[in-house]
Amino acid sequence: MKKIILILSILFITSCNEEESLKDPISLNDEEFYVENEIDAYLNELFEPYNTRIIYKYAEGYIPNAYKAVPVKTEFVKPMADLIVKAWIEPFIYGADGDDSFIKRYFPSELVLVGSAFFNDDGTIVLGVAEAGVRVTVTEVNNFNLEDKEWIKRLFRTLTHEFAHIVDQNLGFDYTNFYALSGTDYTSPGSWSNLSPADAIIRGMVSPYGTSAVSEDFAELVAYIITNSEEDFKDNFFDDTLSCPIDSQYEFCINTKEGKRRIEQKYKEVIEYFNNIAGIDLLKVRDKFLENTQ
Amino acid sequence: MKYLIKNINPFIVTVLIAVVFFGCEDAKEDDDVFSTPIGERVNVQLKHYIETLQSAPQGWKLSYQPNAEALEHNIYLQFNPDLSLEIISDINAGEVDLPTTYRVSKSQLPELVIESYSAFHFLFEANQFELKGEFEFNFISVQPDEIILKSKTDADGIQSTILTLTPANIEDKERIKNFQTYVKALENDFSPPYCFRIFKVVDANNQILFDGSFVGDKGLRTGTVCYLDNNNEQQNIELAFDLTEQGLTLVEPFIFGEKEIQSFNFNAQSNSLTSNDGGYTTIISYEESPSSNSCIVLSTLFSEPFTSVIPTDWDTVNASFPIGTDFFRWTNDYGGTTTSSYNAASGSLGSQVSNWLISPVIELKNNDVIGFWVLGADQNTYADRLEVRLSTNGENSILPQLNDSQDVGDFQTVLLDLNPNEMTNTFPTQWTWTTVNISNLTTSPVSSRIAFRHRISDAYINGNLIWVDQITHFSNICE
Repeated sequence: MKKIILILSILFITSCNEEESLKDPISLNDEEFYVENEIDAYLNELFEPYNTRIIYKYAEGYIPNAYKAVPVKTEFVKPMADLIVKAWIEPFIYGADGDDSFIKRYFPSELVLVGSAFFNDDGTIVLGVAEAGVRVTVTEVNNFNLEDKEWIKRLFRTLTHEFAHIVDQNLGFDYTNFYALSGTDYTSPGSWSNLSPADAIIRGMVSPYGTSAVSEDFAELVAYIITNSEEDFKDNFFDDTLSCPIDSQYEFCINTKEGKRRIEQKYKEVIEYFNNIAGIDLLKVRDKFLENTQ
Repeated sequence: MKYLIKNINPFIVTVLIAVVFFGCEDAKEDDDVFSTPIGERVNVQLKHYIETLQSAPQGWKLSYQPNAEALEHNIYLQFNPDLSLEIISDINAGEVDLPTTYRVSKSQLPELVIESYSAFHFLFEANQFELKGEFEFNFISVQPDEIILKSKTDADGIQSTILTLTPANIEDKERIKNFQTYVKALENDFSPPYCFRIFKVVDANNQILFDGSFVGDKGLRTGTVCYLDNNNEQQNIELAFDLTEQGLTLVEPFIFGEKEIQSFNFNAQSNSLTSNDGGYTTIISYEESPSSNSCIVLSTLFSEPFTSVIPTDWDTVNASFPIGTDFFRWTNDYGGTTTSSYNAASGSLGSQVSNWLISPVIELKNNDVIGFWVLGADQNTYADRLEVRLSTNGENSILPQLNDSQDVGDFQTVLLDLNPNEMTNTFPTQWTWTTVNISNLTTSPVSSRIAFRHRISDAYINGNLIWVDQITHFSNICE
């Protein structure tokens, strides 16, 4: 009985220009009280090349207002960090033929690990948060289980979705063709969750959430490309029927065919975009992701 | 807008501007009053707090009661100079005393934060944060022989939980460790195979004076005693208890014959708890023969709230013919639930909805209960129907086929048929808690699956929209 919301928001906190805000507790990590422990040292070394800070110790300032959450279990911090390297960083380096400059430049400067989802008093849940293109919050880390392939897939679908936004915010994706293909098929605010996956495909999107805005359409497509095998993606989203039989399902079949045709066009454009603008072969990213998460 | 601008009081505007400007200047003025900057003074205070926390050679002990209704837990804390925190507690028999670090910092007030998941977070997380366990505390007073903390977020609008830390000695640490072992043994007896299920009061001649059934929840530390009253109607008494080093103590006494029965001693050999309060012998046990009354206390074996999705171990099948675009699916309506609509079928004349939501395999016994919430959209014109069906083939159950509205697979047993004649204004249009009693199982327990079938005989004429939520399996776990 929970609402689930994928918050992909940009938060700005303004105050009197003081260095501290009331919401942000003084972090003693940079003060005289800070003592680097073995986990801190491990994370610092692992993510130093990407200029990324991993925040795993609970701090109120990293939890959205009015939400509740619990921190990560210590035992999962290092394995989670390793998984992020294997399933996110390494695939993008592989996708750039070994060149790590793209991932170094655009990998979020802050990754926040949270043990649970964010819960609100009214029962709403937030799963993933990206703020201002610099911080990505990874929730539900206490569910860490390398044997649970569905969990890994769902987690990295969220993370690569957020990363697609960061890339878009920095490099700019031209949405002209997306609008041309699906301009009238994006949903009114808040109504995406009433759609079924089949409805989304008819609208030319890979998921109901993709129908919520053109930028979400782009981010969902990137995430689905990376986290699904070629076979699964084509089975689900490419049209493999020659014609629709004239029966009671004819209209549904024709609409689905048309939706899949549009997904395929967008797919090609996204692949081309990453190749041209960033030198990233998303299909190689996908292959490495799948290999590293087997 | 014009009205608003015209009516803004210039005085208020002036005051607001002054507050904004001078509010931001306050800190600078303070610097002139004190000899050192505010940041430096705060750090001195925080350093004092940290040093005091670390100063107790054998750590600190406390009794922690997250809120007025929750039970007290014994906790030992050792604040180490490397900012690691050793926790030894009887919370969940010590199984969540996980390694963590602590931070002393300033938010609006100086605070102590337990930074990684541990026993404190386990309490906070319990019951979807309703227990109000805490892991962020404000300092109230800090002395070498006593530290008083106040919960930061469980204020409840009235009062916050206060924690009083006093220096521990080496026996305190060992005492809680021993208590963990004991609690584990006792808690094991709350579930099969050693399962407290009897609550009996006997006199000096071993004559039964009160014959009740019992089921306990070791996590919540509550129990339910049920008995049949003089009218042969089932009555339930809810009991909350604290674990003690001897057994358990009821928070509110059980009253029998105007006597209070409250303290029980645990006997690990016989797996029983016995009280001699009030001149009676009261026994909570497994070993005794089952209660002769027919009163059954059911426990919740699983309850699916459909929080964010239909979990992957559930199945959905749209067997409607001709098949439409909708299927039994998750929706964020009503804070997250499942739904099915007439669109499962094509909607043409004679099209039939047969839209299925099928549970994972559950172990079902006679006398179990399946409960769920159900709701239909407006039923003035288009009536809905819902069947609850059973397959006792577990993993090998046969699902209905796609696009075949008459096929029910091996879900042959109809447990419930809600609005079988598809009458208008019959299907519930308010959320309705509905239960199905399981009986006549030839094998019990048996691996089973429960199916919810939205069924409309002609989607051109009938069928609107239904929601099904919080599907729950209740069972007497001790039978």
